Amino acid sequence: MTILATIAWRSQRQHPWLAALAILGIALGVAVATAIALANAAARHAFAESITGIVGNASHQVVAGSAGVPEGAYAAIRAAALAHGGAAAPVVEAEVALIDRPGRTLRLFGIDPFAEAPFRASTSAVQRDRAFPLARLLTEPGAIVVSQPTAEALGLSDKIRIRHGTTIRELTLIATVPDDGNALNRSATIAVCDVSTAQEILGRLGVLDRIDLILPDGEALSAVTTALPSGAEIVPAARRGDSLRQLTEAFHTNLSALGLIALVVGMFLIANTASFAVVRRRELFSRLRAHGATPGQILALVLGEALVAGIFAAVLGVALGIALAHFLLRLVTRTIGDLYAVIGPATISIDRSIVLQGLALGILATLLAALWPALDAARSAPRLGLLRTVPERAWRRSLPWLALGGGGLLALCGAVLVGLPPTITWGFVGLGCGLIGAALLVPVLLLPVVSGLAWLAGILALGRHPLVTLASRAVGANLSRTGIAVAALSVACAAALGMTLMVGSFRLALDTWLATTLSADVYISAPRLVAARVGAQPLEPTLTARLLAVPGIAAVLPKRDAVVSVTFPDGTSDDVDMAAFEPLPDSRDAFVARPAFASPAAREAAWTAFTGGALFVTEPFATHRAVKAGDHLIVHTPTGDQRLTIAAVLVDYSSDQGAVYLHRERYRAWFSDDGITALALTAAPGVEVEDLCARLRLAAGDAPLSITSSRALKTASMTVFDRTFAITAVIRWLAAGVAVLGLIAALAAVQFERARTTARLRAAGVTPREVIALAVIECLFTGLAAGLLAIPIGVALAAGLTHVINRRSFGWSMELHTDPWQLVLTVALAAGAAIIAGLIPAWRASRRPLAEALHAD
Amino acid sequence: MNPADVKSALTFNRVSKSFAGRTILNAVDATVNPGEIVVLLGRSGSGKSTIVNLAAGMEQPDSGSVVLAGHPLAQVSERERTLLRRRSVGLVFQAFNLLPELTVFENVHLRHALDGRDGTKEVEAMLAEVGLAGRGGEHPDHLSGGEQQRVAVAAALVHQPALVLADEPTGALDQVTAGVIVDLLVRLTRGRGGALVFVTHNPEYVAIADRVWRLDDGQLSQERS
Ligand SMILES: Nc1ncnc2c1ncn2[C@@H]1O[C@H](COP(=O)(O)OP(=O)(O)OP(=O)(O)O)[C@@H](O)[C@H]1O
Ligand SMILES: [Mg+2]
Repeated sequence: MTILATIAWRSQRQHPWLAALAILGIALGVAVATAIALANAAARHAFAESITGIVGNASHQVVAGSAGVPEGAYAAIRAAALAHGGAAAPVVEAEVALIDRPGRTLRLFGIDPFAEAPFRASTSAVQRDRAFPLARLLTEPGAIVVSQPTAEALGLSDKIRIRHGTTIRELTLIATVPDDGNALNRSATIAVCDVSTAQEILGRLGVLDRIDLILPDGEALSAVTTALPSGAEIVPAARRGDSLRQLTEAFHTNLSALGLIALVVGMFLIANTASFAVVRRRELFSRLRAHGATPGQILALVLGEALVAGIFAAVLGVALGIALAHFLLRLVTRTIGDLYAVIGPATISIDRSIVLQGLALGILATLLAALWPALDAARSAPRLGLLRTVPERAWRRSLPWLALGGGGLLALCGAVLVGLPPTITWGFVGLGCGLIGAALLVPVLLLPVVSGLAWLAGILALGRHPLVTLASRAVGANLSRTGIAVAALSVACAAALGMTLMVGSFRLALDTWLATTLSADVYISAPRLVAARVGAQPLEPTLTARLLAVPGIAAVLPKRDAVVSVTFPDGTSDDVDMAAFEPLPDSRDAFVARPAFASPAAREAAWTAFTGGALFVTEPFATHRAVKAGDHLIVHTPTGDQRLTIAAVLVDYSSDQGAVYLHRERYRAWFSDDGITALALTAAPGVEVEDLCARLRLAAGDAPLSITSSRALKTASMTVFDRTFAITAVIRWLAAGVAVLGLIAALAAVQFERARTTARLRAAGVTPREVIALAVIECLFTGLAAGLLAIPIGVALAAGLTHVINRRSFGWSMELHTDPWQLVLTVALAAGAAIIAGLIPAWRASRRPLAEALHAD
Repeated sequence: MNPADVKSALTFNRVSKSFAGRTILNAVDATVNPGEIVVLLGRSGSGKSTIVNLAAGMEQPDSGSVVLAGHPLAQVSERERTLLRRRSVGLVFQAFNLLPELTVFENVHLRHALDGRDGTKEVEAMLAEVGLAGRGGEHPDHLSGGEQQRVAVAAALVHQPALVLADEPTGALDQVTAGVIVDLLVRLTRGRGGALVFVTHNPEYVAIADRVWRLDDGQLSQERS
């Protein structure tokens, strides 16, 4: 039907930038969703590659604490592994600083090229290349190989100066491996070298950090175990990758949820745009119907328009999304890197399925959102002449249904959160229901709120002013055109507010917790969170003695992190992280129980029990393992099973997997293990903490330890936290931006449409300035109402995110802290957006030649 | 359905219509024969436009039946009613007849286009007959009120409808222009063998009528002129 296409095209062309804003609104929704999906996929990919790049196919690893595995033991272990159909490969690795690129590091990864093949596709693929200078890698001192992307990312030249501890060395880059998609290329900034090169550079001659093993069965395991030197142990390798994968999953889930919020906001905007496009052209459709256009033809016209707009917007949105993804990816990978492990330079690969998803999303969402307005248009009564029916009536009629739908969804939200299993997925479903339900209620509540505002304006003696009266009436009358956009603005502001309050509360909780928990002055531990978690790198006794001999230490709190096997009340068993320590009596205050201890006596009793062998568990542990204070766990120890009571659940934000605490005396007795993995030191009075740290670092020498003052640790923790949530801030502002844009489109459209009314007002003697004032007052009412309605929704959302989502995904509980300043800011944001939205068209209307405006059809 | 209906251009059988409890039409009976010109007189608010809307199938009666060119409107679907209006009815109102999105030519061509038929020749001929030959490319916004009504007349007659409904088509025009429009309507309708219902509150137009309807207090009285 070319005539319908002509009509659609020309009727849109009358307001080209309304159409453009509509398309931009949809495009932004698609862009945010696509960008998050792309960045998420890229980060996930890079992360997975980093893990396999380092852990490889190993099933087990031989480790021996900070001392390392004596190289001499390697031959016997390898022989034992090979004899049982397995494999073994030595690894020496460490992070070294790039002197010419301050702040950047390179992971030196020393391997035996001949033993690598079964383990890491990445490192062995390198050698398959004929031109690869294998001989140089084996023989030349300081020879390394890096991947092309890594070399480019770090701007490496042939000679690379690095620092490790206090030694400075020069490395030779003998080859770069092209990006052929293998793991090494995508993984962390790794420099591969021969084992002996790494040993020499790192000053660890004769020592291996670990031996990677592939052990096909239990027989191979016991064969290798008998070949172990004293002090060495075998740990399963998979745990590392698995627990990391679980950790990042929670992060990705949160990110996807944010994308979803952006999309919901986008959908509302599309719906508003489409319904306004119909309302605006009521007369056109009625005339067309009078001239003999069937309902089906009108439906086709509106849906056809939506389809074209959807296609345009989807293509634009995907393009914008790809650009945005590059930006988001930097934030995402940095966050994951900070939080969990080293991760390499990730690149956005334009995943075809995500692109198609984005296109489909944009087009389908637009069609879906346009369906209701299109049906509405098709039902237009055929009419010629001036229209008598008031479209506002149809809108008013739909309010009870909106109220019913909104109320129903809120009830459903409650039912899902309370009645269904407390999983994170149900948490999101419940929260989604609540958010959409609240959004549906917004249009219903707008009119009363606006009336309330007008009444308030009256009390403030503004009400007598005819402009104020006119404006408050107009808002009510315009709700059919702007209601959905105002709802979208409310929801977006609410989402932004909710996220802000949640992040703020979380930050406050973390800050408070760090302040009380980091009560010592200096913390010494194995460098990597991951390594410490596995519990396989105790500090050597001689090293410990050397450290504790440093002058200026007032008190020492040793800690042993270990992985122990535990049987839960439901009979299942698993390996869990255990921290064994002996808190100083005055540092007990740092431990906050949740639920809180009933009385000081109860608190004393709990600590007495702990000293006697009861367990404390952290909150995430309690959540994930479904245990509570008073439950019993069976801890399997070398000296037999111990049935231990959980004396209390303690607040702890250090790990989202959780841990059990045991008194170190009990641990030593039951596990016959004197090892230490970390030390907390208190400085003697008058001793500068930073000086103490410097002396300790000197005493540690080349040992791979992290020695940090509590202040630095706290700052670092808060930095990581802020970076983690930097991305959520970006996304929530994007969502708010989409909403503001949509509102501008909607309000601008209304103002344009009212050009005739404005012309009449001006003909009646209203000045251009008063015309603008009228529009501003009108938009102010609308914006204030949207902002005010966003407050309860936002606070409820924050409560949901804090008490449901965070609790379910991380197991962390915290108080919701409602910052009044944020509430004020939300209302100001909404009102400001609304005023900007109304100003442009009002300004134009005020300047339009009167005669032309009066006669415009 | 009595056999007379089949031949008539329009029949109202005991048609009643009220708005918000106020009875506008009270069991109205009326017939327009093919080729007949009817002038409908009545005070403002008496229900003249309501009769036009009912006749064109744009509104449904509360009771009674409207038969348009042999088709009882209440018994067909909304789509069929629309097609009937598109093919068998021509409409001219006081103003706002045209789509500002379309050119003069496109406005006159609209019904053919909606039907997927060509009709270019008919449209050209029609524009020539209303004195707008060569102006098909202009936009209605740029025409005078009289010229706009000529376009409306052309659009209402180009498809040779059985029934033309003109609701105060001269209401917004000066007397001279009004005369021209009425002449055009009458001449073109007669030339194409259609019937015309001409709504007005100006008694002078009784002169053109084959039959006069007077609407008063919900009752329609008929007289031959
Ligand atoms: N859709 C409607 N909804 C409510 N009332 C209506 C509607 N259509 C017509 N009316 C009412 O019915 C009565 C008759 O209206 P109608 O337009 O038929 O009068 P009219 O004779 O054409 O008047 P005029 O000469 O002023 O055009 C009026 O009182 C009008 O208010
Ligand atoms: Mg009328």
